[in-house]
Amino acid sequence: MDAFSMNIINSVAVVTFDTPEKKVNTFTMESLEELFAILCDLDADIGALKGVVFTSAKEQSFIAGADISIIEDLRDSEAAAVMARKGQEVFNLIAALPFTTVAAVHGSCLGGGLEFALACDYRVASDDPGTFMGLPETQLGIIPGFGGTQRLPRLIGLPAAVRMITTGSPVYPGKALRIGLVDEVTKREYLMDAAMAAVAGDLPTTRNYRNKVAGRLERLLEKNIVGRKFLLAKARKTILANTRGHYPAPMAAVDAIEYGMNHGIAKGLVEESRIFGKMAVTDISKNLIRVFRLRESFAKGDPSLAADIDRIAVIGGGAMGAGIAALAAERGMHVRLIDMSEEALGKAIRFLEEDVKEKRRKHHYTGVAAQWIPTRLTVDTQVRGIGNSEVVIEAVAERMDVKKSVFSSVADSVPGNTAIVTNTSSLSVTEMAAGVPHPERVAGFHFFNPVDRMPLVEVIRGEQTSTETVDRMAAFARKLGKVPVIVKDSPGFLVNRLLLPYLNEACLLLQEGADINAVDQALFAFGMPMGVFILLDQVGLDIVVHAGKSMLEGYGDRMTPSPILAAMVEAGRMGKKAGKGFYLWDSDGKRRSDPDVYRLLAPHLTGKDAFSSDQIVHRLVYSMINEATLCLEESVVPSPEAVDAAMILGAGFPPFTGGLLRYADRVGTRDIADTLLNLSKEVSHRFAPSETLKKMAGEGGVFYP
Amino acid sequence: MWQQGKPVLRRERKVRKMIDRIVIAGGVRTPYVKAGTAFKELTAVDLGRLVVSELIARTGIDPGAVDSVIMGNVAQPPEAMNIGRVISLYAGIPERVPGYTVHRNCASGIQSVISAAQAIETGEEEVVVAGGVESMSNIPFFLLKETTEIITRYRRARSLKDKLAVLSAVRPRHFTPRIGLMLGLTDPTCRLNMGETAEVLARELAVSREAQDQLALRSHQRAAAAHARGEFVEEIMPVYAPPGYEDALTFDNGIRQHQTMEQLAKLKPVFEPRHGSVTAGNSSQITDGGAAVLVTTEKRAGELGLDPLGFLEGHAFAGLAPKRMGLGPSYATSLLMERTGVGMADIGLIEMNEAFAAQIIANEMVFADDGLSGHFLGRKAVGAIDRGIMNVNGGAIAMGHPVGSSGTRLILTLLLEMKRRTVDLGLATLCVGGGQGAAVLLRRA
Repeated sequence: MDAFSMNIINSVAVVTFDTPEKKVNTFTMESLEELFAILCDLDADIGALKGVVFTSAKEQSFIAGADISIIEDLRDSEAAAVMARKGQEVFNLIAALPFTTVAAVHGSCLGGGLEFALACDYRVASDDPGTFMGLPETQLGIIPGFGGTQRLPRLIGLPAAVRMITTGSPVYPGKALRIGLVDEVTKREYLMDAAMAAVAGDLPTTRNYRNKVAGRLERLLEKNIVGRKFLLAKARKTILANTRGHYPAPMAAVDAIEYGMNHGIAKGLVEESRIFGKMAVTDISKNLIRVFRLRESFAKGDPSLAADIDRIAVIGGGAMGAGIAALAAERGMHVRLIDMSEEALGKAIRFLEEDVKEKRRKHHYTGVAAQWIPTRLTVDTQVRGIGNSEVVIEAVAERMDVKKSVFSSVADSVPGNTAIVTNTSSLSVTEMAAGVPHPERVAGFHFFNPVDRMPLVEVIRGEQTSTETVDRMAAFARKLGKVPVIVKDSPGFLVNRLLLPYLNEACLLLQEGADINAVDQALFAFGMPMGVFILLDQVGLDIVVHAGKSMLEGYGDRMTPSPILAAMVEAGRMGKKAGKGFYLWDSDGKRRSDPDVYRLLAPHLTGKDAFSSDQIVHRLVYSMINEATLCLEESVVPSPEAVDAAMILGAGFPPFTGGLLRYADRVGTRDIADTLLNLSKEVSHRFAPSETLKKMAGEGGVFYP
Repeated sequence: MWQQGKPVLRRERKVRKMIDRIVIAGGVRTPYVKAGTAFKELTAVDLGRLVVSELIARTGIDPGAVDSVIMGNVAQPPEAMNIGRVISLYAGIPERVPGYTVHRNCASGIQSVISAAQAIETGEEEVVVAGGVESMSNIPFFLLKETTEIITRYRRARSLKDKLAVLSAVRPRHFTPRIGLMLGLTDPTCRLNMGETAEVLARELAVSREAQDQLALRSHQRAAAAHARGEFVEEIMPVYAPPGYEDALTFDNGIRQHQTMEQLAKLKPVFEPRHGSVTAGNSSQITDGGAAVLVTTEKRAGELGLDPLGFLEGHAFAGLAPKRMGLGPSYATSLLMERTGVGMADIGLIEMNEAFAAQIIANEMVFADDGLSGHFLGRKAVGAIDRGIMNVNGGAIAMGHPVGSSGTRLILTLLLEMKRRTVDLGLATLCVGGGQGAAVLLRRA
């Protein structure tokens, strides 16, 4: 394959990793074998060499990890463990080389790439914003299998290593230097010089964790088995709380780390590979990898389509508008934010400033980069000064008359080829476009709340929207760091169309006698990021009622809203923002149950049934699946992949399931259709399975053949 | 009191006629805010960035269409050397557009516009952003030179013994700061601060305390009324001030809505405590603010789809004795009229910067009287000023004088009011610390 080349410079071997025809370096079994061969050669050459420097020829990447395809295909835990041992062998050889080894890191250094660097004696890194190091294996349901769980804690200490491995979060050069992960950080142009100097033992004097006083207490605890248990107990508790038992990998990683610390590195490596083997063949891991691939497929696209987009305008400075403006400014665009209210504009400016401050604190931005961001936001109370915008995003109140009026003033202020897009969640993009000159440049561009955390943007194709506009807006979404899914203009688009019946069903269950906490627990245990009534309170019941109207209008009485929602809104119980909804909320965001709710809703609570967790899941999640099949039937989205990507990235559908429709495949369309059929007979015709679902059930069809 | 004078105004040189007419094609300013109040967390760079980016947005031009940026600024903060350049970058104007900073004391905001016009005249530039900013809240304190030397010696000292030796030389007097604002407002050549130069004129021309207070009162009344009528809505951009960004400021907060003669009379003279007449009430205020205008040719304005506010018809800078700097407008206006052939009878509206009431009144006297004009300028009087057309919307006594910015504000305010009154010719003139005067002739578009 010839991924590696070697040169000898001043008695130092420089080994350069350059995978042919790829933008990044990844380890495959072949490249590992090639590396092994080179290392054996080096080992034989002891006398002539002073040391080895490992580097990458790629522009933005050191080594991005092991090629995912080698993990994807693992089906046997023994074979997987053997594979891990093979990789460990290669890196063990690096660690065993009798001369100094240095990794010169520029760009992404993740997973196997970091494990490779850990096996070296020293690491030097460039101070580039594209340089970062991490062990993200647990995000794919596995653990580092090439020695990461053994070498990292011994290098940077137990707590920091546990944090890095279980969260998978990347560490940037400044922090890496402080915690001892790298030995020197320097400008990219000096990287090779620094690496050569490191070979000679010449490194900056004030370095790392090993020298810090504060670290000494921690290291004292780490040195004995009881101390370690103490340090790890807290970590285990946090992991359990975060994963709720759905993601075993982080816990397994901690087990591997502990074993190695207790039994020594040699035995630890064997245990690491064993645990790796176990994790690699789990369904969860396979699903996480599928979701990774899924997200990748929607996140990739031709950036040139949005390359000219530098200045945008956002009309509407509420929570969404301010969030969108901040996002765009942080991604390097000039934004003009317009809102009638000066108070809203002031809040939006403050929001951006505080967001940048917070990110600066976490070292997402350098000081220099951070100071430019607020200068890119200008504000105004009138629609003016937007003539130079390439895109205008409308984010005003969810009322067609207001939106149409905004579209009209905007169209008067910008050239005919400026894209005008709407963040509406429930109104018709096609109707908004009517009457706008050049309606082909109008589309929907629907963000999810909160804007900076939710990766999804639904790009809505109205009846008159051109393909050019759709593709350009998808590229624009990627430019903003989001993942676009293209959806046909229809009430609720995709995510809300599936979420609303889910939310509504919870209320209907309540009417039949279910308990709020029980329902929430059932969904939480299923894997949803929060209970359904909590979600209702977060979204705001008034918004749900408002959106429910469009759904009823668009889809008929299967979407009939539960009267509970209107009753709650009438009683002023809008949800979290009002301090009370299905729960009571205090200003810190803490939640309490409220028995008064049942009293208030008594006239609607007709039933006294208790429901099992399974029944709850069937009624809520299977409804979603059914509605998804209707979306496919109606070509709202072109594929099950689009449904799954959107629901994971926009609604938080649990990734360990692989996606809503992958989950459906696992349960089996027959079971789902049967359950729904029974429900439609016993409870309500709204559960009636769609034609697609019935057909699939009959033929034993799957969404993912 | 007066000396029989030799002519003190320099001889006029021939000035080339401008080829394509220079226009002011748009302008905007921040509210003018008393130093130490709402704008104190905004730097001069912030003020500049705000007005320039708003100017670009409101005129709708592509920032890449700007050929140059020139900003006036007096305090010149050391952390933003060449503030005009720094402002240009932060306002989103491309890196390839050059920029610089000008300093002609209180007329810096005029100088930037004139320098823009001159660059356009030579054909070097076509579209120039010109303006002026000042954050008097953020003018720093300085260390005594002795203190600076001690600190330098301390930093150079290597051993503990040497460091201690340096520290033992420190005395309480080393902590006395030199206050930048005071330094800036004092003329080094005659060792008088600006207020003291106003007292010089009050003495030499017998300007009464009452007359000064009356002028001050009128300034506040006219400014308050103008705001109430919404006269400033077009020129002022709302500014959201850190740290809370809670309020959008649109009001020049130096204006005292309910100022009375009694209140003014109670104030003690600041610069000549025992026998003087210049008080805080009849002087301009220490203020933060920024202003920017777009300077270009009539032709280019048309191409950019802009309606000009007015034409730059002529200008003059004149020098005079630093201790009498307040008379600058008399000198500069006389020179301007000689240069352009225009007379006071042709002028329909005037903005004379109210550095001090005493100084305004002194100029009024010299404008009107051949004897005084002959004595000071060596020339016939230019012509009496009709107060009904001067500073009709108030002036710096009420609104404040952010020194680097006021010049630009005068031009902008004047042009907008000329449009409202359909007046053809307007005069903007300032006195300049250090002994200069500036005058600009503007024609309505």
